[in-house]
Amino acid sequence: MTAADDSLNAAARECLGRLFDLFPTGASPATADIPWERGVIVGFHGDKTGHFRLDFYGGAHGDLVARWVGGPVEAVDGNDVAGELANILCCHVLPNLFTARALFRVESPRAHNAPPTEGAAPLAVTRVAMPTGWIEARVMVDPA
Amino acid sequence: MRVLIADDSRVMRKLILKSLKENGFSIEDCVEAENGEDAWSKIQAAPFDLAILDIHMPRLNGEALLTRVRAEPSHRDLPIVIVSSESSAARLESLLDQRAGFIHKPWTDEDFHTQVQRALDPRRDRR
Repeated sequence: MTAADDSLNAAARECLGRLFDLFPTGASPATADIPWERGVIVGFHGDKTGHFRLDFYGGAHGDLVARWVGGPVEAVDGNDVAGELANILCCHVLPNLFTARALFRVESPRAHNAPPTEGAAPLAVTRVAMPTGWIEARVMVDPA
Repeated sequence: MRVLIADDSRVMRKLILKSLKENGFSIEDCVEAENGEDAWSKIQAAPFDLAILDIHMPRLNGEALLTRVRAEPSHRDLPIVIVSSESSAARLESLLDQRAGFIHKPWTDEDFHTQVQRALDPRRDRR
């Protein structure tokens, strides 16, 4: 795990604490045979250009939706919730990964309908075990 | 208190209303808008005691709506709080210049309460 991974992990945990009163302390899960649910991408531009990606596995999405809205998952648009969460996490982690002075403009979140594939190495990646399932966050930076 | 919540995300509108109630603000009437133009129409139609605006909204963003409200004599004193996950010193300065509060997502109850209270009673900080 790199320093960037640690920073991303800390930022994600801080957000989860504030949003859901969730303070996951368990070890980050290894890649496991847990079904992928959905993914959301938030592009960013500014001092660096790239995208933030958030993926939900094994029931984490439904659990977080229920915690957030305090009601049945069916009552809300799942992509709305996933997108807001990705947007908040993205804006929270970028200053941690770069500098607080770095300026970014973020795009509207867009759903992604397939799990992440091995490709270019992310700047940072982390997995956080949730009460149900887990989430994975990764930051990709475009080559300069 | 009559409040307008403008955000293109229905979930965020629900969460903002929930936070207002949990922080002890008495909400008698809550009107929702899903874009800036919709919010502007509703502001013109009937007075509000407080408006909470997202920055990123279709048709008219929160900052442009804030500027429009402040330029209109009959609405210029409407207490406004901007909500966003983005923050920068320049943006905060601009919002302060326009007498708007700023709540950074994800907010804490303390931040939320302070910013809303300050918007409702801007003289409090000068006492």
